[in-house]
Amino acid sequence: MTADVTGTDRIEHIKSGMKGAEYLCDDSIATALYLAGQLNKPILAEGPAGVGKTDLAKAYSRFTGMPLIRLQCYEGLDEAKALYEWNYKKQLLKIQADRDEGTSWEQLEDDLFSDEFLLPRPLLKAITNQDQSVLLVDEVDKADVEFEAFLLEVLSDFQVSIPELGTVKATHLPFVVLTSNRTRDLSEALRRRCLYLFIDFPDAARELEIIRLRVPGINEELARRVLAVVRYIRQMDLKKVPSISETLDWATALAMLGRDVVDENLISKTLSLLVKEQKDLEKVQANLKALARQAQD
Amino acid sequence: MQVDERVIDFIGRLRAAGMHVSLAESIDACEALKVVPLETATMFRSALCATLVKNETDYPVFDAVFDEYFLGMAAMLDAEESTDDAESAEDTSSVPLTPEELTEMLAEVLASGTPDEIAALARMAAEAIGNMEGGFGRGSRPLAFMAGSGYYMFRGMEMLRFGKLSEQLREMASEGDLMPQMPPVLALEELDERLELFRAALEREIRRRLVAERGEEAARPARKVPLRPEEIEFSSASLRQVEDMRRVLPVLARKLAARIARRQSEGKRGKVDVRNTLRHSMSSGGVPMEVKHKKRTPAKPELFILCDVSGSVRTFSTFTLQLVYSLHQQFKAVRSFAFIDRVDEVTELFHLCEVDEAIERVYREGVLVDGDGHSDVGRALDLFYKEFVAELTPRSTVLILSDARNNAKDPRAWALERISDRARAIYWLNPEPNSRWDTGDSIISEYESICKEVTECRNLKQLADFVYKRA
Repeated sequence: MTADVTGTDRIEHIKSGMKGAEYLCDDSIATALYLAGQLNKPILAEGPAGVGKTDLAKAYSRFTGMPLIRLQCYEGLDEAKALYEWNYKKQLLKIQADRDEGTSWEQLEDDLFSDEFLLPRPLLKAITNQDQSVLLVDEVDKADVEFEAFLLEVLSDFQVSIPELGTVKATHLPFVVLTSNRTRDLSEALRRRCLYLFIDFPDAARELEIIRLRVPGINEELARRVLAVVRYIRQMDLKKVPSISETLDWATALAMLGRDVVDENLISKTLSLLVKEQKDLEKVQANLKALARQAQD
Repeated sequence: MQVDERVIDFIGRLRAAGMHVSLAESIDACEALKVVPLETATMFRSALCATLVKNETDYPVFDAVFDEYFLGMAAMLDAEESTDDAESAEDTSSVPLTPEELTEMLAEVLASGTPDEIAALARMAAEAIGNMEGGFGRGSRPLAFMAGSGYYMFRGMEMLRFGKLSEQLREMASEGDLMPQMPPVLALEELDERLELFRAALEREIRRRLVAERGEEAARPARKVPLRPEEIEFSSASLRQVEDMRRVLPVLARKLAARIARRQSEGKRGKVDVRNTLRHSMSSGGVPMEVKHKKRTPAKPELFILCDVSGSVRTFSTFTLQLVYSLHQQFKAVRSFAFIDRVDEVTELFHLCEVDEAIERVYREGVLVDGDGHSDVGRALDLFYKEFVAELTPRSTVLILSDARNNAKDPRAWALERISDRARAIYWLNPEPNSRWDTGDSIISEYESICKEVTECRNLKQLADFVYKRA
């Protein structure tokens, strides 16, 4: 067993490095990042919207200096959009332009299927990139089941065969982060290949630290008040509770307004930054007094 | 390697508790432990967690098994090592504290103590429980030799008046008196965390002592794997489980909407859209390389929901209504009617407020009862027929939510028959298990032949399956 001190150090190193990239990791996130790097496995991050799943990949890229390559998934996403595509419009132009020069078909075919006419999409970019990259596959649950199967293949081998060009193999395995909002269940096979990370709302202390980290120049008092109000709102029975990103937006706005006192009036005017559903808004507006009381103490 | 063997054994327990752990994942776990420093318990735990748990709903199972397996083992080792010194140490300690003194100290530690102090107090409390009961797993009480940790926890909580104390502290916290340096919500949250910490520490201490007395088996709690929220039965759900179900419902509805939308877009494509095809051919020099199709618009039914809101099926009706309303874009219109022994249209209410609030108001304001308050499906159908049948069209689908327990009243199946003549189809969802249909006062078979389908719908999963099939 090579349980050495450097392991702990490295996890601490990740934590402080991520903090430098403006992302606060708890133990489980830091361990998952560390393991993903050691075992060369993708991370599958799930959790409520706005807790920083996408940010995790972005921050890791800032921390390590590896370039971030992002693949945003949506319904109908296919290989052509994710992996590579022949630029057939340009190919068509090439054929038309060459028509008069009388180039032979063999020559033309070789020209047409060369790097010049290849449009690399995020997955191919991540594989062919000179240096190791961070590949973010965002909202993988939005993609179709067929695409997920295809993704599996790419993620396990990190090689792609392009019939006209041959097989392309990754020189450096990319560091892969998949995120999912759970609009559908991902397949067992995909889960099996990944390290699973469920990111939930942080506890009060960590959230306070996140606010301090991400809203520079916010004073201690205001940060506490913001947190108190947000956490109170989260306890109300709402359709969509304010997430961390919304908390940060609100805190930034208040800090910019330069207000220290969070009173009913101010909350009411800026509430739309926090609560984004009409019915929720009404519910919160009805409780302004209680909210303002949270912010006073 | 010894650690590997332990981990394999642990994985076996996870599987026994119902988690799916594949061979590949076990290998991952062992690999992970090679690169992760094993010095701290949290690191060990998160390494196993990241490699073995692949679903949010599996976390509780993992936590339960992990605590039982590894902390149980740690407790055993601890107990073996420390029995000797512990006894001598306990001898020298002064007179045991009285319950009152303990409660007082607990209040203080909960307000301002460190986690270590809380743990230390838990140790003292466990000691006091032992004294009070005449030792763990022995003593004067007849059931002492078979009592588990749950029993001692209960006795301990009673002795410390834990319930009352936590209530008082929470009140103080919410008024800002407990931790003056913090805003009340945060103080309350912090307090809850500390209360939980104490509870967990006390339970560990008690288990440890039981283990020392009787061996590992005794201290193991009866294993109960938590049910997934979508598999909890409507009829037997506890308040807490209903809370869990409410938490997963929006996720379920979103998934369902996505599945339905996907199915619709995958379905047959419409005719070739000449205009769109030509427009796209411009970019390839007038050669139509991509054929564009028109989208088909799915037929949207008009939905009439008749829901029984009497006590026995209320939870079920609430969840079904919530699900239907979150999918409202799938329907041309949704009209809801609530009944117990009278029927009343409640569509308006649902426009005004959230479903559970609306149901609450239906109880307060709706005229659903004029008899003895027992549900009467027959009468409700009759009244529905008389009042609303004119509004049914061949596009209307009627969905009835009820257990068809009619309290021995007249089923009036003829009313349903006439409703069925006017409407496109009638579906009936019954929250009772199939085996209990037509037992007692259930008269579902009276209506069964008239409905297009009668479906058993005991939990959220079955409900979602039904909606997917029919939407």
